Amino acid sequence: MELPPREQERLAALTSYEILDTEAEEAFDQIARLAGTVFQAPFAFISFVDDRRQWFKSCLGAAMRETARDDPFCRLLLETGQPVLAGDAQADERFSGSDWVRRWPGIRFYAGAPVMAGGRLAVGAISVCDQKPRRPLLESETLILRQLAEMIAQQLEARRRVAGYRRAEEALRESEGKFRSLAEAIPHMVWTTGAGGHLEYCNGRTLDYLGVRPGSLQTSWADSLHPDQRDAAIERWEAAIRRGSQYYDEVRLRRAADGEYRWHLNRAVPVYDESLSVRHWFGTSTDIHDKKTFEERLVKANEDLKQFAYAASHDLQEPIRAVATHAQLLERRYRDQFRDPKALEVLDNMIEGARRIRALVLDLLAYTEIGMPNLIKNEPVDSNEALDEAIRGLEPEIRACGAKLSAGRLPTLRGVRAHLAQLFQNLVSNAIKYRSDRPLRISVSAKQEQDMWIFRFADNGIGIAPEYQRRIFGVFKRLHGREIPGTGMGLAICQKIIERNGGEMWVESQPGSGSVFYFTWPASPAEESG
Amino acid sequence: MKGKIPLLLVEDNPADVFLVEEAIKEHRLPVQLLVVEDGEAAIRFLDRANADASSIPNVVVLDWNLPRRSGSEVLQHLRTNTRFPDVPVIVFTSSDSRWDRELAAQLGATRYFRKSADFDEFMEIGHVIEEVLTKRRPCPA
Repeated sequence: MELPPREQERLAALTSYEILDTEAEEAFDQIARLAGTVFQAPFAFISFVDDRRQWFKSCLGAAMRETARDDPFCRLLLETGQPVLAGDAQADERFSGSDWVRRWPGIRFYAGAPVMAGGRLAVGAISVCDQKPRRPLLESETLILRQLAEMIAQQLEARRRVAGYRRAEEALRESEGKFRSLAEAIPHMVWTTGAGGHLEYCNGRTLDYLGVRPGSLQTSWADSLHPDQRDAAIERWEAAIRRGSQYYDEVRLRRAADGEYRWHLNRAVPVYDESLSVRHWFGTSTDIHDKKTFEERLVKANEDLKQFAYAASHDLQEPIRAVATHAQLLERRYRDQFRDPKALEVLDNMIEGARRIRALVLDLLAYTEIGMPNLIKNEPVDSNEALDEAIRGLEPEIRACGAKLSAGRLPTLRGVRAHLAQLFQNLVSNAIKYRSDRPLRISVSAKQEQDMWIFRFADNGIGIAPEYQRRIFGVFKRLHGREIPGTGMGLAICQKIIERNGGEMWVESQPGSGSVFYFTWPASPAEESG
Repeated sequence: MKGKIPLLLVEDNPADVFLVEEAIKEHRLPVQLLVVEDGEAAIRFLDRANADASSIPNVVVLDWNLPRRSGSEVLQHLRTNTRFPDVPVIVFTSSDSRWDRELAAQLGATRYFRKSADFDEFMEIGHVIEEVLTKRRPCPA
């Protein structure tokens, strides 16, 4: 059955008081006793009415538990929201059918006032009764009864407030408990401070790591910082407090157990109050020592390797140059002193060998130089010009094989001009070396996809078998013997140039029908118009 | 040019010394070759020349990558600490790096000669020495 909206509201108000089926309470019993005394009545009741019953919170003179809701007294009180009065209920046809009247306790005199929730919803009643008929209550007496009903309503409000506080407190305790268990379970140092940075709480891990008792924590954080970083680290934390914005820092903290200073990532976020001023800081310190030292070692190892390769190729150049020039010197100046023609052949082999080693070392040097950080600055480079430069460098070879090269409009990129020219030169040179019997055709184009340019460099050469398509980008990797000259560094250098600039390179090829090399290069919008 | 012109060659690689001698012969240059093998020896040589003025070189061919004191230090020493700061200096190196070229120019090198692995190109050093000696005109490096 659908309840009328007002009844729904009334029941909701009643439920919110959490009064039904509770134990007796002195505050309500006092009001019932007061009513009995004031009206010199043997019975006084305080009851509340839900959707099916009248339940008694306090009884004077007779222990009632509950009656049906459709009891005439009860119904009338709820319907009118006004006091209900009867001098002799037995003689009053409105009430003569009530069980209270017909059976126990055999009510004759009745006076009741509704308990109004929020001043407008009748949720219960206070009533005084007698087994003897009396004159009905005077208006002044009814007013007293109404005031008693109002006291009950206030009592209900007070109970509800207290319950609210208790619940909030309980919730707070529970959330605090949850926070503590979480903070203790997390494998990091967790701490909170006041708005000014004064420590309020830290977890056990913090105490263990720093090796302190809770009382002396305030100063020990600063004491645990590495002396080299202490002032700067404290300054950064204090700056964050002044700004009231997120704090993020990497510091070395002393581990009490063994005195080791370990790298930590410190983070703290401000927690604001309603007026948006910082109330607390919630912070963590995470041990990143192993990661950090590993990274440092890796960077150093990489650096060493580059320096080594760079120095080795530089230093290697000297003796190779000496071998090359001196072999040529022998050939030029002392040619007629070699009587055996085989000796001249040996000399030629030497010269050729020296030339080869030299080409290898120069390529190795070019390869390592590309990887040297900050050696050369990036600048806007017109890739059309870089391609032209590469073509000019290979003019004789291009003419000799009658290659035709067509290029679309290519973009301006951010990079090193010499690198881009070298990239194109290596690609063109490869296309010439690995051309087929057909006249060589090369086409170069570029299109933009999102923030990358995709370059397409296609030839109609001999192509590359699928199993070799990855291998060709390796250092000193060659697929051919001496019939095609080369160091095996060309594509490795191309790939290194592209990787240095944040791009990728790959090949698609069908053996016998040609190869398409693709590479990507970040587009720099500011440069394109210029 | 009368008599033999003193030329200081600062070079630690005997192979290159040999080739420079060869180039001088090929170009029939009337020079007297004085060779020192490292940067420190070169600075000592310059200091002695500064003191007695007897062996001031008319031209210096200076390797850039030298043991102990580098070619750049020798060049700087000659340009700032001697009584003959205008002596032409040919920087003589296998390096082709822009950095080395710029540094040499800044320190006042007269010429920058890159040692080639090609014999004929290497022999050009004789021609460069000849030019520097006859023109005595500082060229941009």
